[in-house]
Amino acid sequence: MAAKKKAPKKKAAKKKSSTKKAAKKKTASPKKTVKKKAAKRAIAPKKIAPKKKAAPKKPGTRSAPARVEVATTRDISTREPVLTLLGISLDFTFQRQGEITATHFSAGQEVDEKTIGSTGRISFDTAKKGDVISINGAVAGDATLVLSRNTNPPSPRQYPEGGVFDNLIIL
Amino acid sequence: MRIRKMGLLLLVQLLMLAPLLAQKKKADAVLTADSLATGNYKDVLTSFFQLAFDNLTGKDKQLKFTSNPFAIMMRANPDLIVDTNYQRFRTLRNLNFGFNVKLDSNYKFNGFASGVNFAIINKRDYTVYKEFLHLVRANNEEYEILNKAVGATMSRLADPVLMNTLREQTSKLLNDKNFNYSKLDAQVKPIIDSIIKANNLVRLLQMINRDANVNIAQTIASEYEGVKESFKKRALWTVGVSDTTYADQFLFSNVVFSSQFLKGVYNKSNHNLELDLRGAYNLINDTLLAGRDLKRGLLNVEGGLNYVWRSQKTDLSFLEFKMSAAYMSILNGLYPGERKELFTLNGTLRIRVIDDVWVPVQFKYDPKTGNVFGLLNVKVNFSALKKAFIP
Repeated sequence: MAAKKKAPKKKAAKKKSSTKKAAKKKTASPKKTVKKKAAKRAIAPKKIAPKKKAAPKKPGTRSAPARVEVATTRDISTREPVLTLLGISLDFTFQRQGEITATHFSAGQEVDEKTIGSTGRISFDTAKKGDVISINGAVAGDATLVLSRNTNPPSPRQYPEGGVFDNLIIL
Repeated sequence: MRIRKMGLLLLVQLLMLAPLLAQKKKADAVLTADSLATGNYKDVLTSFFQLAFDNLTGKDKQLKFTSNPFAIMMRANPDLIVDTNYQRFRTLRNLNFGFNVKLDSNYKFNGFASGVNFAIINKRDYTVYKEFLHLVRANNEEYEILNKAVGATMSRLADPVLMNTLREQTSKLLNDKNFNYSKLDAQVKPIIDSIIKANNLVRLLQMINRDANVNIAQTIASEYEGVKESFKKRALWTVGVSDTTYADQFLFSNVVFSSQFLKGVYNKSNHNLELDLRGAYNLINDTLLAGRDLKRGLLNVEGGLNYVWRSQKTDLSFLEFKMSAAYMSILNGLYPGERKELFTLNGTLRIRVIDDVWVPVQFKYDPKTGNVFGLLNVKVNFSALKKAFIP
């Protein structure tokens, strides 16, 4: 199976631009982690160092719509591309002030973390199906989160005044 | 005749209430912080509409309407309820204005009054201070670490059922006040435990060791209320001007320049003690002079302590007692035989009857003459009326 996948990769790579090559590298990593996943069925908790202070980051700039990567997992027998939707945007609306930190996890690894201090958008460009977005923070009034992709639990999410703790699985 | 007047009054009241009943539910959020304010604070700075019938037992009845420009704007455009606008219009939210229609014992028009009040310092508004959020997040640090670590663990689970169960259970543990640690699933509990140990979450570990039935969501909510509590005793300083017209002529009979300062001095669980300082300069008609003027000047200064007793469950204050000393001096237009200076000891007891209905009983004692005066007021806020009308 691995050999089957390797052959078409070369063909596809020739057609691709340099930017897509870069993307291929990114999307190739989950394949490796699949083996690791199987090995790590027994759960060993990952240690997360406590943060001294949540450094406020500026809200992420508006990202392009979710990209569709083709050919990274192309099946040679059918030649039907397997689509991998990349990226997710999180639109926060605060009725009063709020501060939320969103962390993108993929295969147990922290990919990216962004903090927002007012109504706006956070984007994770490499987020894909099966990844988890962890939401932590506090709001002084009601807050709403709308996601650009299907998640479990589904969007929109409502957070009442107080501490905010949520984890969203990308579907 | 009297019944007709009463009916008319009720109709006016309902007309003022009607737009409130129609407004979107999310606009109610304005009342959230406000309803937690003490009655005394609410008198100083109203963040929503307030209707009050003053001096119910006296001859001079008043129908009062108080609001602020932001509340009016928000009614016209509910989309304004976003943090960016909330911050942008902070000055407008600190500005209150009011109209007051005076009625005599037969409910006949007996003058008009209006006023503007502005908060120069309002450190009680936790909804605008970033410091508030930082304090809350500092308290929640261990819960955030736990939630993040659960997110990391979820992302490498191959079993989608376990992944979802872990998500649901963690969410309940941190957000659901009816869920406690002992209710965690047998397969989720070891994961949570190992995360707590691996990340050395000492507080959480102690809480669980102390009581396996610990309600973590309740603890988080209590800690949040604690931070809010610390903001309630902060300083509030307002300045204002108000005026009153004559019953038969739209000419000022009274102009008052006033200022009030409030600050909590003692705060322990559900008992608060608040410093209340107020001063006013009153310009009124000197009746000894011909015509109508504002040549008589009275200075009023009052300082006191306000004790507030809050319910531990709801955090709403249900009893307040204020002791104060007042000094009055007539600076201009002293009448023959009149005392230039007056010193009184005052006491006000305020009891919350239902959510937004207060019954204040006020006593004044003049040490020089030995006289005691009493007065009964009933204040009703719109929200209470609204609740009464909506099932």
